[in-house]
Amino acid sequence: MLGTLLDTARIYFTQFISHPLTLFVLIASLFLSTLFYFLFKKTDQIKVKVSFLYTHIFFLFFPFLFSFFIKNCWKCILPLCDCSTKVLVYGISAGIGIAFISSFILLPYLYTWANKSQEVNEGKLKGLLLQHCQALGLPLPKLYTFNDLTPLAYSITNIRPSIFVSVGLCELLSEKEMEAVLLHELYHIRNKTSFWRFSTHTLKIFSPLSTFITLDRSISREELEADLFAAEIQQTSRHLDSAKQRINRMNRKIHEFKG
Amino acid sequence: MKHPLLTSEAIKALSPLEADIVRAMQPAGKYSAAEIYTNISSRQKVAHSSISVLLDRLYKRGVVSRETKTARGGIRFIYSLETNKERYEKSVVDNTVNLLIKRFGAKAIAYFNESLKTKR
Repeated sequence: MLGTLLDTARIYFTQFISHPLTLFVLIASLFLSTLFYFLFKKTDQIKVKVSFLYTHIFFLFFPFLFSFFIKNCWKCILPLCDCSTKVLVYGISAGIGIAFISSFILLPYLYTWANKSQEVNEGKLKGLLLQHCQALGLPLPKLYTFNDLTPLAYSITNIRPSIFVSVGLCELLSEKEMEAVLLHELYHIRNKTSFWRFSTHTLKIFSPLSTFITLDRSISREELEADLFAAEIQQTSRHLDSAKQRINRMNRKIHEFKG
Repeated sequence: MKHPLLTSEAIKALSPLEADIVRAMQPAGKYSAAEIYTNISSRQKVAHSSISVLLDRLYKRGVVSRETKTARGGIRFIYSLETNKERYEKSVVDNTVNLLIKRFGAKAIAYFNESLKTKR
């Protein structure tokens, strides 16, 4: 079957580069893809960065889509394949598509299920969240706690914005410190940071140029901005700083007892 | 009142501070980490975070169970001594065997192997 696949690929690429139109589309798409890749690298704004990233991936795959669906190449190639190869070709394409869409939609549900999270519908934390969302004009995200002593908090924005906090974190921090953490996460929700991270993982799968990308700088910048946002709303960075100190101390203690 | 599952052998398998935590808990009682800390810190110098971490370790070993409670003071863990005998015994066996293997390594494993063969 591998031999048939390689033969099919060889025939496909011969047809691809021998036709002037598809060759032009290939070169133009690769040029645009590279251009958007550099624009993506140069830009600092997350929203613009994400749009450049998807444009880069689109142009990377456009020649194949063009030849398959517009030039109807699949009609000349697929009759050459046996049944199992056809199933494989369609199966892989459909599999990638379904995996991408379903992972985007199901991610919040997977997080909730994997952590055995419990939704918080009342109490001070929910009240604080409601108050800040109303003030900032943001839709109210779902708030979940999960059974872990390690102080952790994160948010996701795919379809259903949600904030997850560990019970260990709630036990450790004071009300003002928890407010600072929630504001930090609200900034991530407002900026759709988790969508940005999901997109960069997508890029790593689809684009060969992803090996040249380091995302550490963007992530640290985003974290710093979220901290500044929390400090600005609270009009002091005191609570955020003390929350960080407590979290670091607790992590050290957990590490110490593990050792 | 003494917990029926916490025998002196089971207590010996715990570290001194872990044993103090277990002793501070009544069999039918439910406690937050802060309550246990208040109880123990009146007798000895100990950090609140140490109590939380050790309670977490006892929970993972199956010695105590915990649930999440949302109260006016916020969200917190409420701990109680494990009452499921099967789960508790399994955790004691696990801990004892792991401790022996950690201390004596291959010798302990060889001993278990020998004793299994003899029993068969």
